[in-house]
Amino acid sequence: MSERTEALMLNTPIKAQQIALEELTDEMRATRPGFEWKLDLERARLLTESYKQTENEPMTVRRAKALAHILDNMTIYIRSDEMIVGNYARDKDSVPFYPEFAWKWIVRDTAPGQVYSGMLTDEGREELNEICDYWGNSSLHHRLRKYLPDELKEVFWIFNWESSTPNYEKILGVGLKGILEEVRQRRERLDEEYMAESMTGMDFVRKRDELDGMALSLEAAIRWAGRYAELAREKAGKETDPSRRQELKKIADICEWVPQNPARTFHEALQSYWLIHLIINFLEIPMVGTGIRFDHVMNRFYEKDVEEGRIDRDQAQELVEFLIVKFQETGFLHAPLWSGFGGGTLGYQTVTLGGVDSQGKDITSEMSYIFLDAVKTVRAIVPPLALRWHDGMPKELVMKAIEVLASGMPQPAIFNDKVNLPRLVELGCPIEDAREYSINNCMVPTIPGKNFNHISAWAAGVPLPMCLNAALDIPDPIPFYKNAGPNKIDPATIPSMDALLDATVENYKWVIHRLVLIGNISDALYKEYAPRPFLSTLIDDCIDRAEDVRDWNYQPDYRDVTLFGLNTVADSLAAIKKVVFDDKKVSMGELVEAMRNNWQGHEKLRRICLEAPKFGNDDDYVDLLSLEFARRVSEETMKCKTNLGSPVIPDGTASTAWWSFGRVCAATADGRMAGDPFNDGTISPMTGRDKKGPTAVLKSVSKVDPKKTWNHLFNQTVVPEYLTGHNAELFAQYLKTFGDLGIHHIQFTTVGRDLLYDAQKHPEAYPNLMVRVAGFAAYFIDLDKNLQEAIIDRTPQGACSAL
Amino acid sequence: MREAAVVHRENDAGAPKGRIFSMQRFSIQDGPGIRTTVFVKGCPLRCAWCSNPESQNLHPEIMVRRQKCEGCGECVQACPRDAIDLVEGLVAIDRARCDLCMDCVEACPTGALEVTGEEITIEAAVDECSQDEPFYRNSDGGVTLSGGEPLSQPEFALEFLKACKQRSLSTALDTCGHAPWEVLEKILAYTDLVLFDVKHLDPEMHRKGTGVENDLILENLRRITASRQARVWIRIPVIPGYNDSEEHARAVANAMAKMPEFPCVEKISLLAYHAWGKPKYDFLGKGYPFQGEAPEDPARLERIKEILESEGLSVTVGH
Repeated sequence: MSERTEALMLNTPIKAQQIALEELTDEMRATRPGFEWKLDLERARLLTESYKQTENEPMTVRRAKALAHILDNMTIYIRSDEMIVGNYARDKDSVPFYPEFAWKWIVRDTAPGQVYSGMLTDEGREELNEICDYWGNSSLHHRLRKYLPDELKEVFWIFNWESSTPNYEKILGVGLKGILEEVRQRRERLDEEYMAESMTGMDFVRKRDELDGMALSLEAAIRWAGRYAELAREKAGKETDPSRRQELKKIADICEWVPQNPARTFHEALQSYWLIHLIINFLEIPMVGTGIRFDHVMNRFYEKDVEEGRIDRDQAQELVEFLIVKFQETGFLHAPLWSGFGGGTLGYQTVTLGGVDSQGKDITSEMSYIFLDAVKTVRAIVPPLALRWHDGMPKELVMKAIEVLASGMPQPAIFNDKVNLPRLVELGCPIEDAREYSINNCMVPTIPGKNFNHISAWAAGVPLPMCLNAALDIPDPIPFYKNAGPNKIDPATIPSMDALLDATVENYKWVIHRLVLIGNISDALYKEYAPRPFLSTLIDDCIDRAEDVRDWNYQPDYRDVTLFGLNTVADSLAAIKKVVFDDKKVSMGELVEAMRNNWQGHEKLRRICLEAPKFGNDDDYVDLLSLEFARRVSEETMKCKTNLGSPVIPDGTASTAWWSFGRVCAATADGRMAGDPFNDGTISPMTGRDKKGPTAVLKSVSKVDPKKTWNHLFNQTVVPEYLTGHNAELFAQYLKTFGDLGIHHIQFTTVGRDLLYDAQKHPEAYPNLMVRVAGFAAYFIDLDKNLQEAIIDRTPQGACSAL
Repeated sequence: MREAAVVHRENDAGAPKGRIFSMQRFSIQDGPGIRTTVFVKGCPLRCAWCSNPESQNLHPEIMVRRQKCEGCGECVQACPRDAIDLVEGLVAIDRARCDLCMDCVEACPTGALEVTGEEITIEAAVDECSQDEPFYRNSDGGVTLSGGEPLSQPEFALEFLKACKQRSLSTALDTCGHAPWEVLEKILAYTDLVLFDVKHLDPEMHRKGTGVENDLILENLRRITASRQARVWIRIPVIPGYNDSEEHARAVANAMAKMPEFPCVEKISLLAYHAWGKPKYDFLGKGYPFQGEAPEDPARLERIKEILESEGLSVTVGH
């Protein structure tokens, strides 16, 4: 790491969940200044100005003009020492606001005394009110409420979470000017087609508007880059340090050239990528993900630079570090509940490394290693990294990934081609396209450049344990989904496990169909009021079809809905099966009574339930219940269809919902107390209940076949000593077995000092944290304080768990 | 008396059962690759530094984790021999009165009372070990039978390892070597690797440290290497002030070099003393017998390693 990237990193704290910031230690505040970030109203003001001026124009053109007005007038900055430029808010510690989608919660939550009040000054609040006056009920989410039939108004919840990956190879290959030329030619052809009477007037008007919007937004993006060139040149003129002056001139030259022209160098390619990414993810609309196959796209520029003597490896790594710093600047403000759901306000801009090309050949290159080294060096948890796992990957890449994990980074997450390719092919994807898949955000796969699974203009989360509790008529503290469905069983007469499972699935069905009914209205409104002319120019076939990304889909396609708490359900079903049906220790009525009372006065029964088989111990008794329930849930979900006729498929992007929704769910039959988290991720065992070590956990998880169910989020914690020296080799073999077992995904948190200190303070939260040496095993919490200190001492510095 | 009773019951049951205190999957320090280690209860030695005191007696025992006790008194009520009291509000067992009926463990709602030493059938043990077969395959791992001393339950050890081989699992035997050769010989036929502990070469010192002399142990080591039936890894627990002198290291080096069929000794692992087992003595109501508690100086381990290596031995510090 150069001193410059180090300094920039230190001054660019990630935009962690605003509420969680209160919990930061003074030490963290001292080492990472600037944790308090602000709401920036500039984008909202510029957008609103533009909307007022374009009221009689077609929506696509309005959106393009609004984007152009923002890009032409927003504050831009170049931070001292940075080499990759581009910003989306007035300073590095601010985030913009998107009034066209929703504003009421922002006004509410930034009011004095409210949770986000510190994000605006009094003048800011005044300006916010002025802006929001214009929007009234025409913001998209507020408009949605008007359309909802009464029965749907009660259903929780809906939010905006869309993602898409443009064709970066094309962008870097022909430049925006090349794409603009394509749009112009298409417009000429459109006239010819209409004159040849091969098109209806309705289609002609719609397509003509779309192409106009595309052209306007492309021209605006080119002008925007020009502003950075101008600013860099202006700064160079005032710069006294000759070497920085040269750098600013270089930045000016680069921004003058890209993204409008094809990138010629690695630096130009990075700069072009970053400007485009900012527009599509943060300025045109709030969008998560990135999905770039970084090494696949970027390596050729690096190789050419090296060949022609323009750059060496260290310089290339430094440029990547500069890019990573820019990722740190990004983030969104979400409503407090959403924020808890999302584990913060990051943009989930997952960068994918490794994998194969369309012909099945491994694409690992020097750039794969450079990116991993950069992440390790600057200790970045943003952007999240996805490493594609396949049999043909070089061992060296596996060892490099382990090296990054061993440094205490929770990166990279590993995604199994042996699951993802067959899943996509089974859906109907040509294998050549499937092989190009990337992870766009969290767990969501996409095919770069294709109009695939991206218009998640809605997303919904279903806490599965609530469906089971509803079947047992156990009220939750907050009645989501009217207590998750109307199918209840009288505990006194419950005839069988099958009947209970049926009722739970029926409740899920009730919830999911309603969510999709809302989602489809939401989609229709997004299509009507939030077309995406700029993004559409970057997605294959949109120009040729003269259609917006929202008007059609790559085939096959699907839409995802995220589910969590699966193994809280599995553990609960197993406990009921064991305690009530097999061992007949208590009646269902007694058990339900105990759960309603949150086990108060039923401690012994709780212990019996806790002793029932638990997921994560390679025990078919419970693991197969998880599979059976997941399979049926998946089947029901796929019966739901989007507006364009695609199926809805469950997805494992639950982030921290397992935690935040656990807080509002009553006690469950597995012995979990009301308010305790659900199982970690979406497929990990309940924390502390996996007692047979990491191999048993992998075996349990492998039984819930992702090809029959969905792409589960799987978190595991490891101690650094499993990742170094001789053990690194064993860890590689453990990962190989993960691949062979057909598990979809795995990601690791390394046990660091912070966690061990926490385990000292809260032993009850770490019942199974193991300390192992040859011929000996003990639980960390069993050791006395001095011994614990000794172990903490040998744990590497800097290992940390994510905020 | 109790130990005899256990053995007797085993004979009654036909197929021998084992009494184990732990079965640990993802063991990566008890032989090559990813392994499952079965820890057998019972050991003829009483090493002062032993980090698994619950491994020593053949019979089940009660572990008391007072930090988990909430002082509810359920155990006091449950005990038929009045062997339990609450001391300073927390559970305390009078081990002299306790007859190990385990009623208190059954009654305890918090897990503060726990039995160590579950009985397990060969089939159940091998089934569990087979579950990680995909990991063994990728890592050249397998099953390690450890303890305690596996040879203290010879029938179980033999039948268990035989059953593992029938399922094509690679096997390792982690032993202190203190058993009749006839017992060891039979078991070797089903053992791919022997992890053989060497504590001290001087008979008197060995007796002082472990309670038994080393003649049988060293003779067994010679016979194992001479038999060429299994690969051998020597494991030396390096104990401060006991066997960490340069002189002892040189004696080990000489002795190893003189072993018949010496090449089958693939390596020597130096395992540094640690006191992490200390709390477990407390859980069992025992005092910690080892006096010199200082952790081993890494430089000294390196020096021992050098001396052994100078005789052409392959040596690792740690596993």
